Amino acid sequence: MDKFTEKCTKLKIILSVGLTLVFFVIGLALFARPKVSESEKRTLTEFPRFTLESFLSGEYTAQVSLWYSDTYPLRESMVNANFKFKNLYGIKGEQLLLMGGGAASEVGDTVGGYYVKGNTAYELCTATKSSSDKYISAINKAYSLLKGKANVYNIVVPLHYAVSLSAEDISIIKQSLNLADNKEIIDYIYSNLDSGIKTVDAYSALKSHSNEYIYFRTDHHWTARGAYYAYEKFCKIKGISPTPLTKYQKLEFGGFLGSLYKKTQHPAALGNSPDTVEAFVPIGTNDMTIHMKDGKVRDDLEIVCTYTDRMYQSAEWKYNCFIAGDNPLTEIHNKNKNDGSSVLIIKESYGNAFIPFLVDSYEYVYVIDYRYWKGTLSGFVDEKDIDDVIFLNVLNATLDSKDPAIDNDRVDTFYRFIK
Amino acid sequence: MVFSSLFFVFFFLVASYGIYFAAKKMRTRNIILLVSSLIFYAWGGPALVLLLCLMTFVCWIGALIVDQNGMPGVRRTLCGITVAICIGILFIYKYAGFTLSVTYSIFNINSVVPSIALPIGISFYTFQLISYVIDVCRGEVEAQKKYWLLLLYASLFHQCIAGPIVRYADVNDDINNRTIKLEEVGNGISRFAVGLAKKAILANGCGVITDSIFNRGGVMMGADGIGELSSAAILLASLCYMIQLYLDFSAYSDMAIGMGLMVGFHYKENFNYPYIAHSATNFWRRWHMSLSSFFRDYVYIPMGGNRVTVPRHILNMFTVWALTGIWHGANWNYILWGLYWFVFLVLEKYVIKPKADPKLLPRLGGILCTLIITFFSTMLFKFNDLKALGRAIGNIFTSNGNGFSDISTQLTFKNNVFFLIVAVLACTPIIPAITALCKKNKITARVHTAIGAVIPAVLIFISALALAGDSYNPFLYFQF
Repeated sequence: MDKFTEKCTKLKIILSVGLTLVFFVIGLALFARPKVSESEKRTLTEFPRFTLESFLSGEYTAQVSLWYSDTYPLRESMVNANFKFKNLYGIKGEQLLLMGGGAASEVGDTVGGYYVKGNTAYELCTATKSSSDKYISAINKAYSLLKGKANVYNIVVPLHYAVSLSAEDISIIKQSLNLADNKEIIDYIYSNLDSGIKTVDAYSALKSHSNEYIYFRTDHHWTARGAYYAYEKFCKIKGISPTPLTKYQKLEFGGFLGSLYKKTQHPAALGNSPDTVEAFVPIGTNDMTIHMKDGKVRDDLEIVCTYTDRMYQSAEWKYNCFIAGDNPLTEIHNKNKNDGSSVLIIKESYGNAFIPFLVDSYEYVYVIDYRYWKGTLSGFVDEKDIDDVIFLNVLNATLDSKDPAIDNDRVDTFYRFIK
Repeated sequence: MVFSSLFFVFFFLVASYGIYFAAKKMRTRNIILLVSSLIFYAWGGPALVLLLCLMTFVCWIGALIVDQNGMPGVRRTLCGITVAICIGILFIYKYAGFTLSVTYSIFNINSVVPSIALPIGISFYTFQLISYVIDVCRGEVEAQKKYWLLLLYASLFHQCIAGPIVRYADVNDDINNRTIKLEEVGNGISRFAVGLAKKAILANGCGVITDSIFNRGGVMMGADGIGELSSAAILLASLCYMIQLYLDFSAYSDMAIGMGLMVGFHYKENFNYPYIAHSATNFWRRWHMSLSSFFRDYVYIPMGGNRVTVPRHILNMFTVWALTGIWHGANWNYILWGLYWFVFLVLEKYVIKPKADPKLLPRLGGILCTLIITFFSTMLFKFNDLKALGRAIGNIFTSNGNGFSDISTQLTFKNNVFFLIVAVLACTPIIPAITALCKKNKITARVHTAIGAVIPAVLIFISALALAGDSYNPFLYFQF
C-alpha cells in the first residue's frame, strides 16, 4: 500500500469509527432519553422490567432493542433530518398516498389515504353510504330517548376534499381509490333520520365558501371560519340570528403543522407553508370548566386560548387553542344571558372549533366528547334540563368500517353512549 | 437483534469489537467473539441458544468419531447418522408444520397443525455444521477437537443469522491465526458501511413502495385486493420487491463480510451482481453462491452430477432445485419457485444452450431475458397466496378494465424517481466500473481513494437517520 493510500485508509478508519463512537456515547446518555414523543403524541417504549418469563420468550430483549431506538436521545432531530433527506427521493409535489404498508389504520377510520397537491393535504375517505347505518340508528335512538325533553339537531361535516377538490381531481383520484361521495352519504343519513330531528346542511354552507380558508392545509380539521359557516346554518334552522363574524375579537396563531403533515411524511411543500389558526373569542364569556380525562376539574382555562403561542408552543398543538382540546366534559356559563337556555353538544374533535360560536347563543353550553365521557346521554339531559342537543360529527366518524382488520371503536363507542 | 438497527450498530458492535480490540491474545479474542455471538443469538430467544449448542455438540462428537475411524463404510455411516440428526432437527422446526398440514389435507383430517416458532438462522447454521461433518468425513478437514471453537464457527454472529454459508475449511485457519491488517480493516469498514446503507436506505425504501401498493392495513392484500390493481401498480410494486430482495439479502452478506474483515476473517463472496446475469445458469453462479455451492458439493455431485445419463442428470437437477426451493421456506410457492428455475436451467442445458461468455449483443439479449425470468420468479417468491399471484400476473397482461396505469402509481413513481434510479444502479457493478476507470490515471486514482475515505462515515450517518425513523409511529386521535 503506498503512503497516500495508507493515509487515506487511516483517515477512513478515524472518521467511521469516530462517528460510530459518537453515536455510541450519545446512546449511553441515559439521562437524555425522552419519555414521551411530542410529535407522535405517544409515550415512548419504556425499559422493560426483567422477568424470567419475558427473558426466556425473547420479549424482554426485543423490548430493550426497541427502547434503545425509540428513546434514543437525538431521535426527534434524526427523524426530521431523515424526512428532509427523503424529500430528495423524487419529484415531490403532488402525492397520492394510499393506506398501505406501515400506515396502519387508525381506530374507527375509513381513511383510504392522503392526497397532497401544492401546499395542501387532503384526508381521503373510502366508504359507501350503508357504512353510516349504525350511526343513523344511534341518532334515531337518541331522538327516541329525548323526544319531548329536548330538540335534537344533527350536523354532519363533510371532509375537505369533498368541498374543495375539483371534479377533475376527484375523478383522477377515483382511478386509484373508491372515494366516498360525501354529499351522497350526508343526504342518505339525513333522509334516514327521524323527521323530528333537525338536520343542518353544513355541506352547502361550506361549499359556498370553498374559496375561503375553511379547512386547514396541514391538518384534518376545519378552521374556525369553516365552523362559523356551519354555525350560521344552524342558527337559521333554530330560528335565531347568528352573531356576525366581524363582531368577534380575532386572534391568529401561526406556524401550525397538523396531523396531515405527519401522516404524509413531512413533505417540504407543507412544511414551508404552515397553517395559521384563526380564532374568534366569544363575547359573553371566555371562561369554562373542564372535567379532564384523569378526573381533575379545572376552571382556569379559556374557551379560546388567548396565549396559544405560549401554551401550545409545538407546531402540532395549535388546534388545542379551542376549548383546550378534547376533554370528557366542558361546561360554559354565559352570565350575559339569563334565559336559562342550554345546549348539549356531543362531538369529537371537529366540534372544538364550533363551540366558541354557541357561547353567545345560550346561557349554558355543555360539551361532551363521547369518546371519553363515562355517563349516559339521557341521564345528563335530565340532570341539566337541556333544551337543545346537537350531534356534531365529521363524516368519517359516522362510518362503520366493515373491514374486520380495522377495529372500529369510534362508532361503537358513540352507539354505546346513547343510553 | 438485526444488523440494521441502532442498537446493533451503535451499541452491540461497538461494545463487542471494543472489548475484542482491547484483548491481545488470539485465545481471548476468540472467547470474546464466542460470547458476543452467543449473546447476539440469545437476544432473539435464549432457549434457542441451547438448540444451537446442542446441534453443534452432536456434530462435534460425530466428526470426532468419524475422524478416528479408518474404514470408509463406517465413516460414511457415522457421518450419515450425524447429518440425519441435524436434518431431523431442522425438519421438526421448519418443515413439520407444513408437512402435517399437507398430509392432513390429503387425507382430509381436520386436526389443527401445531405451530412451532422457527429458530432464527437455523437454516444457515444447520447447513454450516452439515458441511463441516461431511468435509471431515471426506478427509478435507481435520475434526475440531475443541467444542468451543466449533461452536464459534457455527454461531459467529457475522454469518449465523443470514449467511453467507461459510465452509469450515475456509475459516479454520482464520480462527486460529488471524492478524489485523490496516488495509483489511479499511476494506471491512467500507464493506460494512455500504451494506448498512444498502439495507437501511435502499432495500427498506423499496419495501415501502412495494408495501404502499400491495398492503392495506399493514398486511398484504388477498386475491380480491390484488385483483383491483392496475398493471402499472403491479409492475412497479413487483420490480421494487425484486430490487429489495437482492439489496436486502446481499446487504447482509456485505455487512457479514465487512465485519469479518475488520477482525481478520475472510468470507467468500455470496453475490456477484446477479441482475446482470445473461442466462439462468449464469444467474445461479451469481446469486446466493454459498447456497448453490452447498447443494452442488453435498447433493448434486454425490448424486453423480452431470456425469450420468441424461434422465439421471435431470433427476439430479430436479432434486437440487426442489431442495433449494424448500430451503427458502416451508410453503408451496417456494417449492414452485425452485422448480421454476429448474425448468429454465434444464432448458438451457439441453435445448437453448446459451454461450458461457457471449458477445455484446447476445449478452444484452440474454440479460433482458434473464431479468424477465427473474422478475416472474420473484413474484412467485413474494406471493404466498397462489390465487393472488394468479390475479397479479393476469393483471399485468390484461388491463382488467382498470387501464394500464392509475394516478396513485404514477405519483408514487414520480415522487420516488431519483431514489429508484439509485436503487437500480446499486444492482449493477457501476462502482467497481468507476473504480477501475479511476485507477487508470494517477490523479483520478488519488481522488477516488480520498473520496473513498469519507464515504463510509457519510453512509453510516445517513443510515443512522433512516434507522431512527424505523420506530416512528404517530398515533393521532386518542392519546393526548
